[in-house]
Amino acid sequence: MSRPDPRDVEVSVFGPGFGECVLVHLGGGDWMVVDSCVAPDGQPAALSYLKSIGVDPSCVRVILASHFHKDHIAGMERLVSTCSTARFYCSAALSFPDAQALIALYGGDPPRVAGAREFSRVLKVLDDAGRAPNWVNANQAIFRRSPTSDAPACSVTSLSPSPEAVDHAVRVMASKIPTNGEPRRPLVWREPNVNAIALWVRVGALSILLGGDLEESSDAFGWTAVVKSPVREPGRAHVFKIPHHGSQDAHADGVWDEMLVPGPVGVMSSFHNGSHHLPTPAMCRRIRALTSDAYSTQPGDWRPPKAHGLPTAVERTARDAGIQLRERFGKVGHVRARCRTLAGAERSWEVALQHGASRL
Amino acid sequence: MAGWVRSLEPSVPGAGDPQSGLSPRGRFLLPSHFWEDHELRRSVRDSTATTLPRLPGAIHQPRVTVQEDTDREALIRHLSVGESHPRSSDGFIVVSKWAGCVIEVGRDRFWASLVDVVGRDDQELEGEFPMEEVSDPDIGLVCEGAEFYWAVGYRIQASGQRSRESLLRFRRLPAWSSEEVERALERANLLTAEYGGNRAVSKA
Repeated sequence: MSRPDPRDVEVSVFGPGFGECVLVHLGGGDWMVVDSCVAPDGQPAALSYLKSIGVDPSCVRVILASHFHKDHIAGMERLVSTCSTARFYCSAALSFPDAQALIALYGGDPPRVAGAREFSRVLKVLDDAGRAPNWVNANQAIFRRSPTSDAPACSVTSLSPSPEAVDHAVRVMASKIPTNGEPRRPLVWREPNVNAIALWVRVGALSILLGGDLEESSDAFGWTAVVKSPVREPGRAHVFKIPHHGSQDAHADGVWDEMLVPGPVGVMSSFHNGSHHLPTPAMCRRIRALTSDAYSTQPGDWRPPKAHGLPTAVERTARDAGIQLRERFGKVGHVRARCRTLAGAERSWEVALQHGASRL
Repeated sequence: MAGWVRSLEPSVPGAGDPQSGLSPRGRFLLPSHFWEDHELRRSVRDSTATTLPRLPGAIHQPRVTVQEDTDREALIRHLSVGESHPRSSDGFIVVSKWAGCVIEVGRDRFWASLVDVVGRDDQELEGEFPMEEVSDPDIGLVCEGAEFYWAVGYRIQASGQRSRESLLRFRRLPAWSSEEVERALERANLLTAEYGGNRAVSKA
């Protein structure tokens, strides 16, 4: 693949490997990474792609963790340490001592929580380098660039989490801090993901909506709160990173009706964990009814391949006991949408698919 | 040496360091009581088959019996790499061993991520295990995020009989202590102050 022109805006979605990552060329040689996806070789997919097209990691201005589920933060430490000049952003809920206490408790010794462990490493990398995390609330400026001779103006603005969502998350986290003598059990987070960061990206006249994993909840939380916000960025987005791997729990009609152009380019990453495989055929049908221009990093029926190269004794034991063994990390599919931003240029998005990515 | 799973022959160069607990490949060995203090012996298939002749060129020449369903070439492959298969004091030769973490629990099965701790394979696996593979004392420990070890290998009885075994054991963790929690809260308050946070936290 070729390096984008400074006048191009480009949105790449990688997944699953292990996780989901969105990489955006904001024009003018400025890049933003949202979340992290680790390829089977252990490398963050965004770094491998940037290297393949000859972009130095110093061109990454923003690294943002939309939330701390392990399939969005695995590899974040490597991203933050490699992109040493980027500013790191994450939810304001994590700035509270309740969150920091949970990270301290579950980020080291067992029972470990993958997200807490990765985040504690990210904090250490930042601290060692004299950098600090930047906490995100809704409607906050993440990045701004004035127009230059070869690139239009750019702005990146957060749409979530709402103050109510932050407060709710902090209360839940406080309730999970263990007490003396309490059994040491793994920390499990089953609450709806209303604390994830969604972003509005504007480059010249083009707009992009990055949905993270933000779910729909109530008027105060989630997508309805975003749609109804009186201070959100105006306009309609041409590209939509479909939230939560296409799940129904992240769907809101208002987003499609009020925040997107008709028939936008919709991109999402597929997901596999245990018995869960997303998107399901029903999700694909729903999204196809909303736009004919929708893509996923792997087909909806994708599964990681069966484990190979195991000793015969293991293969036979697994077969005899009814144990099924698969690779944990599937290949990383890549959907890339690119568009020229010059005034007067026709706004047609070129979509390229790699490594198993497909149209829905 | 006692107390640790060790390589088959202490005299083999690079056979592992019981002081550091490191295997020749730099990976951690498991304490032998891990294998000795539980009764989880699932998928055991008693041997009913033949005794193999000694293999020319093999470093270790155990008298072994093999299961009828074990093909001869596979066994020779195992024995020819026998020096890298750690053997516990109770005669268990580990072929593969993983650290597992439960990612989902269903009605009659659970799913887990598996990381090779013997060091032969860098690929992380996902395993789908029937719940009947878990012993009764461990059933209550099976929950999302629970950690366990899974080993597949051969047990060689004093009689020389050899059987293939799958050992699955869930990790037992101590309760939280007030010191741990207080230490975490202190650190959290310090970090929050450093980050410009606006309130402290304490736990009764």
